[in-house]
Amino acid sequence: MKRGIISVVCLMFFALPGNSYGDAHGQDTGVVGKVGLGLSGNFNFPVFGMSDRFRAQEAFGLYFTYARDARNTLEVEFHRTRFDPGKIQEATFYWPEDKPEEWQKITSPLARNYMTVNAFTINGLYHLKERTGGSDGVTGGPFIAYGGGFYHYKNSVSGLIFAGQPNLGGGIDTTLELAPFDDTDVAWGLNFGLGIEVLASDRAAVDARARWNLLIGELRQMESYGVARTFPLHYFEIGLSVKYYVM
Amino acid sequence: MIRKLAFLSVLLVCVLGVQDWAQAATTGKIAGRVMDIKGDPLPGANVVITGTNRGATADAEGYYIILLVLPGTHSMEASLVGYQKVVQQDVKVVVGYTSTVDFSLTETALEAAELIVTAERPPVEPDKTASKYYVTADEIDLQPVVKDARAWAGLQPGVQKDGRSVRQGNFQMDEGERRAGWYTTTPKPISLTYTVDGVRMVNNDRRAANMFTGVNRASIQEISVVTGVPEAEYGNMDAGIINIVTREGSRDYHGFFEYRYTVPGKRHYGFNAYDPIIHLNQGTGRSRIRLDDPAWLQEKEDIGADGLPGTADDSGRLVHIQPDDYTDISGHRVEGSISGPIGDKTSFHVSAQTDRQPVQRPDPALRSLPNYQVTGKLTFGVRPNINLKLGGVYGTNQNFRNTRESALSAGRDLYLPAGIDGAGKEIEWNSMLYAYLTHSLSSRTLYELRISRSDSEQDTSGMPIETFNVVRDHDKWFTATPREVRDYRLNRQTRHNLKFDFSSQVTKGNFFKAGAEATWFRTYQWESQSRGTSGSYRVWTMYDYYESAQNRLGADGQMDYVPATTVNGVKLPDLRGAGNLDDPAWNAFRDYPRGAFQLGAYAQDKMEFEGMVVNVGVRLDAYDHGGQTRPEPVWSVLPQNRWFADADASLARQGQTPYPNNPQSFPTYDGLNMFKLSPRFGVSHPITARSAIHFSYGRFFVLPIFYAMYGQTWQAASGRSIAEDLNADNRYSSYEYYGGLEMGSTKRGSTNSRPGSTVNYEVGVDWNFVSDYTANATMFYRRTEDYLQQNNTFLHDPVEKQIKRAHWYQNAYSGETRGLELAVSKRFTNFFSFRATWSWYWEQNNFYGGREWVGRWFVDSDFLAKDAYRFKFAIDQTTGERVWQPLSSAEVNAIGMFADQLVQQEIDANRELWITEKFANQVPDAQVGFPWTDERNIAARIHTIGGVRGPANMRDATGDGSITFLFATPEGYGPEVGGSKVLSDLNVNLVLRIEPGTFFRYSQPTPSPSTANKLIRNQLLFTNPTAFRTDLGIQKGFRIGKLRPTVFFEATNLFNAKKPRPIRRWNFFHDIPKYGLAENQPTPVVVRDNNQIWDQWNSYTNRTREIYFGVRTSM
Repeated sequence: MKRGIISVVCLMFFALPGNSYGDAHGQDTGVVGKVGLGLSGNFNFPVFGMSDRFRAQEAFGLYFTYARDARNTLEVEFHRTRFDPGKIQEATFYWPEDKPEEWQKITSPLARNYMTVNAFTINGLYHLKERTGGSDGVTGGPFIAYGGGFYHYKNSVSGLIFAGQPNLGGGIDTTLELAPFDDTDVAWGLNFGLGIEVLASDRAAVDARARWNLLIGELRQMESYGVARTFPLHYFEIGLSVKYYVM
Repeated sequence: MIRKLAFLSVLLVCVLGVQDWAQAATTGKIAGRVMDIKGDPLPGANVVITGTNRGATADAEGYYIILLVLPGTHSMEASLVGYQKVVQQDVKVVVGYTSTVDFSLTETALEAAELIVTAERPPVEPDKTASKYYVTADEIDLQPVVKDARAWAGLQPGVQKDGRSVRQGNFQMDEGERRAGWYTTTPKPISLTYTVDGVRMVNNDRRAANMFTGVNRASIQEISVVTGVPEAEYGNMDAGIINIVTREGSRDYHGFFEYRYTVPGKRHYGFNAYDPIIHLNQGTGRSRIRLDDPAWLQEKEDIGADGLPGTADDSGRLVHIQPDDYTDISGHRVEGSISGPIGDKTSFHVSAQTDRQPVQRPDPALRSLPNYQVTGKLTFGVRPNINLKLGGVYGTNQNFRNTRESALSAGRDLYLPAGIDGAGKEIEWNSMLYAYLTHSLSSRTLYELRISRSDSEQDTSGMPIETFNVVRDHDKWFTATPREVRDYRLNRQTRHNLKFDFSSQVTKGNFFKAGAEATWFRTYQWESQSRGTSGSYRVWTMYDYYESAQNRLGADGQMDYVPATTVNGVKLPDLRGAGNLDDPAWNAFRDYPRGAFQLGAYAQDKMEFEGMVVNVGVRLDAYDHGGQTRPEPVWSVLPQNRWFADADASLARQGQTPYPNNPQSFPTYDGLNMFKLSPRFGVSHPITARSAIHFSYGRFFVLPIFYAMYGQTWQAASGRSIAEDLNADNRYSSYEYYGGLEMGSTKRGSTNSRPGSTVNYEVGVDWNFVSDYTANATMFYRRTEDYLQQNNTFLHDPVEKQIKRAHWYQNAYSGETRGLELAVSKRFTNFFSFRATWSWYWEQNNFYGGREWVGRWFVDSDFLAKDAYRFKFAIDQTTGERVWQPLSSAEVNAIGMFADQLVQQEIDANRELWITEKFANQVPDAQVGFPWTDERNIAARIHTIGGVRGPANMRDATGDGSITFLFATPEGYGPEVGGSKVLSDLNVNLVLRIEPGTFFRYSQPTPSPSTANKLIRNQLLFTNPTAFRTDLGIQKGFRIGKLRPTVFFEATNLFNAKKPRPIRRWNFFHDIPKYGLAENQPTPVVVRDNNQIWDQWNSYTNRTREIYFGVRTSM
């Protein structure tokens, strides 16, 4: 977690354009009408059923941004998250299944579960306060962020000791594992949230945003391991981004 | 000529004289007020629909009403001398709704140019008193990736994705065509009804619902979907109706053409059928496909049908010819339409489509067989106030009969030449023709008369005569000659309707409508299937057994026989050598279709005042079985059949005479004629200018599937051949051909079944929350009662010491659903629109059991002594048929002693019994004899099977949904890049369908999330994974003169998502929920012990991603 925070801060630092404020002199229209590129660093927190499987992870994103007018911004975004490791190695199961009087609680210490999400979305930002430009100094204001697109996800599970194996008298065979599998699909998804944008100049800006991501996808259940079906998939995202309007 | 045609059509309507009504609305209404700019009414102002002769004159208060307006977008004009004419464009009319269009005219002394304004439909529909969603022709044109009416219906909230049922999630999955089979416990009727131009298109009149809807996309003007409470004019359904209105020709000629090419590819999951892994010989470790072995490649068919090498029937052809690569097959689809005027008063619109799509898996044909679909309509403006329409829908398709009995096995039939299937082909025809007369008696009163005929037929052709065991190659693996099975089908259903509707706008806010309908059904069905092995023979029949028995020898008065032939060492009937087979038991059953009448009448009133709209109506339905019912003799010899027939008929039948000497002596009985009253009520009221609430209630009745009323099914007893020459005279009577009377299991319909009923309540809110965005939320409660439930009876036969089983039906199935439907949509503005829907269903059904009961019959010695037993037969040496023989006194004594022992065992086991008179003193409190009959010598043990209700918790409530997204730009849009506007005339469609998995049962032996981490012993319900499917369509248009060709790309299942095979709900699949394994996926123990490799072939059955390219143009 700590390493992730450091990574995000470093990334934001190096991504900030060094002379963006100086470029602003002489520009009256601010960022309105300009297109640019943005870079974001986030922390993604799995929620609801996802939180039973994964912990918070850092994530990175890139986006193309177009300030349509003083109130609206259009973004085309890619962000990638890798929830790794998951919690499956902590999951226990009862064995042998059919003999409660002999039950042992067993874990699969070599089990591994991770999930990658590659999101391609089109977002809109509605600025609650009109952006008058950046040439008068640092300005900014809150915005509503909304968007949707496709979220490619791959949830991989491996190394689970097979809970349904019979008791042959020699104890559980820890080498008898479920075949590795993954839930892979491309989900339609939505995101919705709030943010604050700070215009450092008429070309550079920084924003902080918090968004809810909802993916219309499903992860399979493994009832014997205490894992329920997860549908839909949610994660909450908090992050910082910098953007530079190039034209 | 046109007048003659019109006259003839009216004459036809009058002459045929059958009655029917069930008006289905196909038009909307425009109403409003004409005022001056001060708000004062302008009486006498003329309002007309531009380009038509339809219009109205404003009354003293300035109000006007125009009835019978076709759905779609219209332009309207209002004019009055001394005022500037006003034109309202884009007036949208929806079937069944009122479009309010007010005019404000400015006084002018001089002739001024007309004032053009654009009309806007209100953000929420003010007269939506029940859940209703509609799709207009504009939307259909803009989203061509949705190909047909059922696909559109499936995208609406509350409708299953296949467009077959409403508000039932996936809990009740036995409905629909081709699903009712031998093992179907509950032959439920269709829940969703389709009408095309007001004519009902789906019916209950065969073994499963017939859901031919058949209208080509190019012919659809509007689709409206009512999932809640349809109005009283609609009957025989289960609270859901989809109305399709077809397009009409206009005063200009128009045309449309589309060609779509399907890119070759593998269309299933799992290994390729030619993959050596499938054909791995576990014993030798070698693949059975040996393309590098010349001897194997040159293997000749030297066995033939007789199974012996070197005989005359050896074909000598190569057995292992190179397989056709089923993954390298492309497909084609063509659709077109043309419309325009014929003379001054007549117009036409006709469309047609056909396709040849690649099969998903190796099949006798690598592309779908020929299929065609035509939709057409002729519109005659006979007089200004009389309109006549003639139209119809026709569809035909062919399929190979890949039934369970005849299915080509995965991989093992690869080397059969394409086009060969042991079961042969089936051809299906569906057609509907109608004539529809509208006569406006005044501007506010009209009547409609509609006559229609629809016809469905299924016929198998090219069937092999008889069955042989499959002949395989030398390795005994690949099929060397086509496997021949018996799989015949000949079904036909015809329906004639006459509908009459009277409508009147009684007052400004009061629209009254009443009507009547009569439907005359005629249906016959005959199917037989066999795998060619003993005991696998089944026959399904449905026709008028009573009438056919009156003429059991046919027109020639002679019993007809089929000669025997010997094939493969087996004596078999040779139908090819048969002469005249006009006995009903052979082919002439077609002359005795089962006839039945359905009658209905309704009255409804739509009241509009102060923004509130009330729809109130009532409907009366009646059903007549059209004659007496007589169980076929083949049934009546079974004692348990006799007794349950008695029971459900509530009749005590007296003596029987042996079959078949006097079959007419078997008693007949009248079915239960049905009269049902269905109230409907709906009210809507605005909350704000942008929101409205509605409540509705309705009761509905739906006829049972006809097969459950008139059908009979029987299966040959284990070990019995399909046909047996019982009297060894080298010929077969129909009796012998049908496998004799040695039935292992039987099933029979009952005319005492009542219609299923449904009650539906709903409350919904529509809210235009911002700009073009609207949200709908509807909560509903729906309860179904009296659906048919299969019951089982078992006779403990003391003679053969076997248990004989029979099924029958009774009104016992019930279920209830609570649900929430949500939809958010955006109208098409700013180049895009979307609609997202989601529905939750919390359902409880007694689906497997509940009130289902099982009866076990035990006859006692008194029963045997009175010659009531029917299991001892002699063979009639003339006909080969069994003749009942009375038991001798010695047999009565011996068998009676054993029979009494069986009854005594039941008493000793303290089981709850209906006791026989002989044993009555041992169980003093028990019912003596059958309660519905005079029979007092049979004991019966009745017990119910406990139902499984579910789902067990709210988390597992099923849900389904959809999202449609459209981005479309007009011509000339966007920046110019390299001399062309790449964003101009661009259309992008995206459709997501979310389907819940099917239910099945499992037991969780350890604490788990589904058991709240407690150990329980109950069975649980589980749903298979949710299936997601995304379809994409992109088209780019060009302009070439008047032509506007577009090229397009389409992809179905764009992301290659897997959909698990539907699982029948009474099956157990523990490994799926417990370990996340897929169906048919081996567990690690199985993999370890047997080296089994998982092939996803049988786990996921949907088609993989398919890519299409094409061109479409309109003129």
